[in-house]
Formats: sequence, C-alpha cells, structure tokens
Amino acid sequence: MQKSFTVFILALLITSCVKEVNPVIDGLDKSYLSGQGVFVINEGNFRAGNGSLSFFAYDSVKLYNNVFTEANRRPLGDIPYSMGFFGGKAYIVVNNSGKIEVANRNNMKSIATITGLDSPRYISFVSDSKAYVTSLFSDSLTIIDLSSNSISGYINIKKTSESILTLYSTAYVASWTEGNKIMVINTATDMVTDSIEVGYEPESMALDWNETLWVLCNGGWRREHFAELIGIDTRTNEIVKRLKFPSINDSPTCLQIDSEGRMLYFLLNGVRRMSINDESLPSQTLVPQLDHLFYKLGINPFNNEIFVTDAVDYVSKGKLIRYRNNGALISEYEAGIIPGTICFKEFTDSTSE
Amino acid sequence: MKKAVLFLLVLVAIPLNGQLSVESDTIFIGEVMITGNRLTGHYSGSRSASIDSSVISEYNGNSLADLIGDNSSVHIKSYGPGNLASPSCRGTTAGHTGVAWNNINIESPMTGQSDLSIIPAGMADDINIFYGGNSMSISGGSAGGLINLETKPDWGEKGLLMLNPAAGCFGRKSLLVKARTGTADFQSVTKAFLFGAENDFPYLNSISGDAPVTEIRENNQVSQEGFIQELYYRKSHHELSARFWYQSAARKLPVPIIVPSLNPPETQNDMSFRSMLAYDYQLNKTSLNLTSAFISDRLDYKNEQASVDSRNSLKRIILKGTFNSMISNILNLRLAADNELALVETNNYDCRKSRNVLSFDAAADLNIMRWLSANLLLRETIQDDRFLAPDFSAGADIKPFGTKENFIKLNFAKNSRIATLNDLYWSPGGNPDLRNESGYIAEITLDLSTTVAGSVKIGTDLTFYHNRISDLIQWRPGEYSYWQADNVDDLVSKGMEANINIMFHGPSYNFKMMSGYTHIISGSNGKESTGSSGRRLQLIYVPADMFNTFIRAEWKKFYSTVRFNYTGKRFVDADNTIYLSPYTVTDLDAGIKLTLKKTLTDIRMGVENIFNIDYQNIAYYPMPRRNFTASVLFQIKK
Repeated sequence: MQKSFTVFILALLITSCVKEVNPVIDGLDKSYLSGQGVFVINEGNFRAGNGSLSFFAYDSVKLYNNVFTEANRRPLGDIPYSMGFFGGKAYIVVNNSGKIEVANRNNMKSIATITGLDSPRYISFVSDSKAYVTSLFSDSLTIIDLSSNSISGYINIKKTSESILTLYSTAYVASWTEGNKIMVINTATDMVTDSIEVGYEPESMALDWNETLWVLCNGGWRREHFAELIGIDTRTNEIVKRLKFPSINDSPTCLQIDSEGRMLYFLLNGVRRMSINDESLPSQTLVPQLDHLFYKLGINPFNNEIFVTDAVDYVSKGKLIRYRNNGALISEYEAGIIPGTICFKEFTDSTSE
Repeated sequence: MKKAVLFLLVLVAIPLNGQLSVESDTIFIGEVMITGNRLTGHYSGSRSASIDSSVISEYNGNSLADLIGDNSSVHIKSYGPGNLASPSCRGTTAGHTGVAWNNINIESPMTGQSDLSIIPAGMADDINIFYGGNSMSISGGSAGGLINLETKPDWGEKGLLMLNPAAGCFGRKSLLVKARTGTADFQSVTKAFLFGAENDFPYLNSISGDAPVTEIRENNQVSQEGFIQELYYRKSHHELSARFWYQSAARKLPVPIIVPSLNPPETQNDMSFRSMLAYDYQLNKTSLNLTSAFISDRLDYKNEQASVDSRNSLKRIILKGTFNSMISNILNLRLAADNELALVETNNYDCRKSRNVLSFDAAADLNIMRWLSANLLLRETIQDDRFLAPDFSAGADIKPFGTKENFIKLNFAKNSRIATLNDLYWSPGGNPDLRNESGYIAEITLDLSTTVAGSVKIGTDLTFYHNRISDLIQWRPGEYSYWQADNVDDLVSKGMEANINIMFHGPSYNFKMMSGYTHIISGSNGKESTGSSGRRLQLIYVPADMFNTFIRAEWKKFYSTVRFNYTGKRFVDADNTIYLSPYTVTDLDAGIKLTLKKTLTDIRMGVENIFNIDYQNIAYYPMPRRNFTASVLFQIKK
C-alpha cells in the first residue's frame, strides 16, 4: 500500500514537470548569417509574441528562419517591425514590445536591448552617435545614444510618426496615421525646422539620385482620399511632382527605389515600377499579385533583384519571393508569420565579429 | 483497497504515456469504466453531464471558468486569473460553446461568446453540460456544446442562510451569501457575491533577457459584484417564478509578458442585468412553460495608448414557450417557439443595429420498445424576415442489456449558427453578406453504470464524435488595410471522451472519484490546412489530450479533495510549428465540517498548484504558482 502511494506521488511529480514554460519552436535550425543576404522581419500576430527574424543567404540560397531565437534562445518580441544597420550592428525595432534589440549583424548575438520606447516603428542613424526612432502612438521622436544604447532624449513633433529618411543633417519624418505632413528636423539641433503638407497618410518614402524625396500617400483605410505619389525637392522642401492614383480604392504601399536612384517601385495589386521622370503612374504591374498577398517590398541595392513578402493569410507562415529585375520569378521560400520589412546586408563585416 | 489504489495509478499514469503524443493514432486509455450523468427532459442520443452540487460548493469563491475547466471535458482558454476565459468544447471555437441561464442563452450576440471568468460558480445551483446535438434542447448554434446554469427553489427546505467568506494569496478575497426563506408555496432565494483580487503573483520571465528573472504580474486587479433575487410561487399545477441577476466586473487587463506593461493599463468593465419571468403548468401528461426574459449587457473597454475607447450596450428581449404532451405511452410531442430581439448601441458600428431571431421547434420522443427509444427534432429559424434552412436532431437510445441501466446512444444533428453582430456590422470589416455556419454533428456514446459489492457505484461513458462546421466565419485580411469577416473554410473536429465515476461509502466514510479523458483532433478542412506530413493541422490552442480527475474522500468530520488537470500540447500557430508544453496542475483541499443542531461550519484550507509549476495556458500569459486559500462556510437551516 505504501509502495503504491509512493509510486502515485512520483507519477504526479513527473507529470507536473513542464519542460519549457514559453512557446517552443519545432525544428530550430542552425543559421548561417555571415555572408551577404537579406533579412526579413516577420511581424507575427499582435500580442502573440510569434514575430521572428529570417535570413536569406546568397551563399546557400536558403532562407533561415528564427535566426534571432536560435542565436539567443529567447523570442525576439512582439511585432518586430523594421531594422537598421550601423557600425556592424543590427538594430531591430520591436514595435509592440517597445524595444530595440541591438545585435551583431553577422551572428545575431544580442549586444544590448534598448527598452522604454513607445510603439517604435523605424530607426534612422542621423550621426555616428545618434539615431532617431519614430513612433506609432507618441507625438515625439525618440533620440537614441548609440554609444550607450540608451534613450537620450525626445523631439516633440506633435504628431505620430512612421517612415524616416535622413539626408545630410536633415531628417524627414512622415506622419502616417491620419496625418498629411512630412516633418523636417535639423539633426544637429534636434529641432523641427519645417513641415511639408502632402497627401493623406504618407506611408513610405524614398530618396532618388537627385535628392528628390518621394512620398507615397496611401489615402487611408476609409478610402475617403485618393492615394498620391509626391516628389519633394529637398533643397527647397517644395513639392515638384504630384501624381494622383486614378481610383479612390487604389491603396498603394511600400515605396522603394533601385540602386541607381532612378526607378521607383511600389505595391498595388502587384509590384509596379516607374521612372522618376514619368509623368503618370504605371497602369500595369511588373509582377502581378496573382494568388499571393503581397505585403512588403524590397529592391536589392547591390543587384536590383526584387524581393516581395507574401503574408498568405496573416496567420500561417508567409513567403519571401525573389524576382529578377525584369519581374521573372527566381524562387520562393517559406518565411515566418507575416513577413514584413526586408533589409539587405552587405558582405561580412569582419570588424564587427 | 490495494486494487483500488492500483486502479487510480492506471488512470493517473495516462498522461505519462509519452505526454500523449499528438502523432499517435491510437490512444491507450487503460482499463477504464466510464460514467455519465443522465438528464431527463433532453434529447436522447447524445451525451450530457451534470456537475454535482457538492463540487459546485467547493468553487463558491471561484469563477465558472475554474469550475468547468477542472471538472469537465470543456477546455478553457484562460488569460490568467480574473481575465478572459472562454470555453471550447470538442475542438470547436468559443463561439460554438453556448452558455445559458435556466435555458435562456446569455452569451453575447455581439461576440457569440461568454467570458466565464466573470460568472461566479457559486451562483448556480446546478450546472449541466449538453454536448453536441444535445445542446439543441436549449438553443441553436452551439455545435460543440452548451453549459446551462440552473437556479431553482428547494421546496423541501423551509429556510437557509449561508455565508462563505474566503481569502487567499495575491490579495484574493471573496464572499458568497445565500438566503432562502418561504412557505410550502412561496420561496424567496437571495444570493450575493463579492470578489476582489490583486493577482500580483510572481512568475518566471525567461524571455526578456539572457537570464531568467522572477517578476511580479502587474495590472491584473479584478473586482466583481453579483446579486441574484428569485421569487417562486406555486399552487396546484401552476408555478410562477421571477428571477433577477445583476452582475458587474471591473478589471485591469494585463498584457502578455512579451509586451511591456501599459501605463495607464487597459481596462474592461462589464455589467449585466438579467431578469426572467416564467410560468409553468403541469397536469397529468401535459406541461406548458412560458418564459420571458430581458437582458441588458454593457461592456466598456479602454486602451488609452492605442486611443481605443470601446463602448458597447446590448439589450435583449426573449420570449419562449414550450408545450409538451404525452400523446400515448409511446409518443411524447413537444412544440416550442423562441423569439429573441437584440438591440445594440456601440461606437464600433456605423449605427444602431437590431436583429430578431424567431425559431419554431417540433419534437417527438418515441419509446418504441423497452430497449429502444428515439427522438426527432425539427427546427425552423427566421432571422429578421429571412427563412433559414431548417435544423434537425435525430437520436436513439438502445438498452441492449434488458433492465440494466446501460445504453448505446446515437445522435446525428444539423445545428446552424447565425453570424454574430460583430461579424456582420463591426466597422471596419463587418460583413453583412455572411452566410450562417452549418454544423453537422454525429456521435455515439456507450453509457454504462453498475453497482458492485453492494455500495460501490461505478458509472462510465465513452463517446466518439465527428463535427463538421461549414462556412466557418473567420476574420482575415481584406482588400484594404484592415481585416474582414468572411466565410472561409470548414472546421472538422473529431475525437473521443471517456469518463468514469466511482463512489462508495461506509458507515463513517465516503469516497468519490470523477475522472475524464478527452482526445480531440480539430482543424480546418481547407487544402492549405494540411501540413507537409499530410496530417490535418490542429486548431490553435486546442489540446489534443486532456485529462482531469477529482477525488474526494470523507471520514467522519474530515474531508479532502485532490484535483489533477492535465492539459496536453497546444499549438499556438496555424502551421503547428510552435507549441506550448503540456502541464499538469494539482490542487489539494482539506477541511472539517462541524455540525451543531441546525448549523454547519465548514472550515477549509486549499493549496492550488501544489507542485509549484510554471505554466501558461495562453502564450506569454503566466499562471500562478503554488498558492493558498482558506474559507469558512457557515450555514444555518430552519
């Protein structure tokens, strides 16, 4: 009787053991990140903590998933959204975790975690010691001290912010959510110096060879405004070109530019391409969407290959699709959940190892 | 006795079998004998279960989510103590598991769901769970099952006053008061419930940095109030009842630990007022029930950081009538009509919305032979001015062994679910063109009960079921940058449920054991929903295996209860590549009951999660480690 009771208690103790408290990923592969390649930031689902980082390696022509988790044995966070490289480091902006993970860009080993950010979206390195981070919810940009990997200040722009581009000592910040302005900031003084009124909900920006800032205004989800593509002369901050999309239902996203700074790309029922000199918007797609759900776009600055992410159904694993510059399909790879922003990595930076 | 202990070991060892591998086609359940609690007045052919009032009383300070999760095969998806807890029955979604109060559906037509964490368990006198097609005896749309809370008079009791304060770790305090008084023909029942908890429990955070740290859960406070007043009057063949139920809950909503705490935190306030008037008439072989109900629900959610201030007000008027007549010894006929008018005011719709759903039932029960009975239900539903395709339920009870209470039950049903008001009208993304979901349910149950050695009662049941829900409504990315409700896929769930109840007693002791095992395979039927192995992918957060056991032993004035709950591996992504590990939570209670004349004092101490495991029911929402409760129940009877 006593023996049976002991076995009973032991059985309970064994069944009560939980191997791992947090979600476990099946089949975590060793990743190879040292060569040239493409990072894909998989956003994952809101508050599900299933965002991840993938890396497409040109060496092995393979997409490695969960590379941050594999390197650090912990999840990346909730809604990793964008990424920037500076000084051999990768800065991964994790939106809903309110943090930036700073990692070695060649092995993804964590160097630091910058916390306390309010819904961060994009990072722009404005000097050797300073970066600006935009925010979906806050009216301020956050200033990051790159030497200490900490928050050093804020710039109140009185608007929420999304995409950001820096040219010399000027940062251009798009106020996306229900906004219609590009805020101009002097990066030396951290002061707002100007604002440029554009179309409704400026969603993404690109800079051409001639230092013209191209702004893609989405028009908003309510479809009460026409989407617009706007060119701004950065020397005068004047609008030099304004192209309106023909249908109120046109909802273009993700403006990109090629390595020469002469061809613009964006998503609208597929990938569309136009010259910066064109006087009208492209009526045809270069890469039709077909049965994909194109979510984000990237143009490789080294060879102009077109990379598109397919969110599939926003809950299953998405895809990274690679096309030649003429729109011909090269291959597609299984990525993480909601593969989003695409970041291109140059050859190994040995100094950062 | 030694054999009994070994038998328990066999049962408890079930979850040890390789953590009940999802891959395996064969489930070894050991030599179990299974019981079910038969309920009268509901359709034969499918399974139903009743939660014993003695079990309910152990949850006087807990929520219905705790009670159902510990004592049934319904899986509870819980975001932690005090937070949203939704039921999932037989691998279906929370929207396919109904909740009713005295046969009146109380789930919100806006969401199609009920939050069981804000329903106090101790407010109910009886709780019945109707699985599959049997749920149609209460209402439509619950293809997985339906939980019916019953509050009722006790005509055999002249008066009762009960006070049950309780306190526990993490600032947990509760008080349940029950008062019953009246005469042979009139009875008044009053119940009040107060609950508050800080829920500031420690948990292990191993995801925010390189080394795990113990942190304290923040923004997790909850406070609840509930009040029920019921009046019953009976004369001759007539009975009148009036019931009122007020309930409110104010909660701070904690975020997953992968997200920093919000300041100010998200808050949710729920308030419900439910009233019901019922008239029952019974004479010989004829009975009539007329019920009217008015339900007012309010739900306000606020998230200042995301600038969300959601205000939702819902009012419902329900009229229900049932006529039942035993035409002959063979045939019983039942006719029923049910009308529900719902009015919604919310800042999440473009304008005020209303919906009227009227349904007519015609049902026949046939006692064809001594060993065979059958029933057929036909239901026609009219949604506003639209006639819907009829639903039905057909079942049979076969008694193969003559006089013994052993049954084979068969049921096949079609049970449609009307789209929720949020699915139809939420702005943006609501889709007024949605089709209703159609659920086809087939099940077979073997129900055996026996008494051995004079006083040892053993009841067992074993059920196999197969559900197919067509035109499943889900939210998915729409044409623009927001999600849209759509009929996307079919949901197929199939599995088995096995239960065993053993009771025996002697002159100074009582022993009761209730144990259940559930195996579920549930997933979408779309072509994209099959993994590379060709296996259908399991629906997220539906455990393939669950096992629970409740053991209660009483000796003289002393008693002790042990509960084991094993929850199997749950996938948290649609591709079934990320999962939460299985866990077993063990709770232990011990107490003493002191009686003095007509008074009873029950002093109880409890330890929850006695083995102090860290676990998550939902990813990144930690659950409490070992914690303690103490309660004193004082009761006086006239």
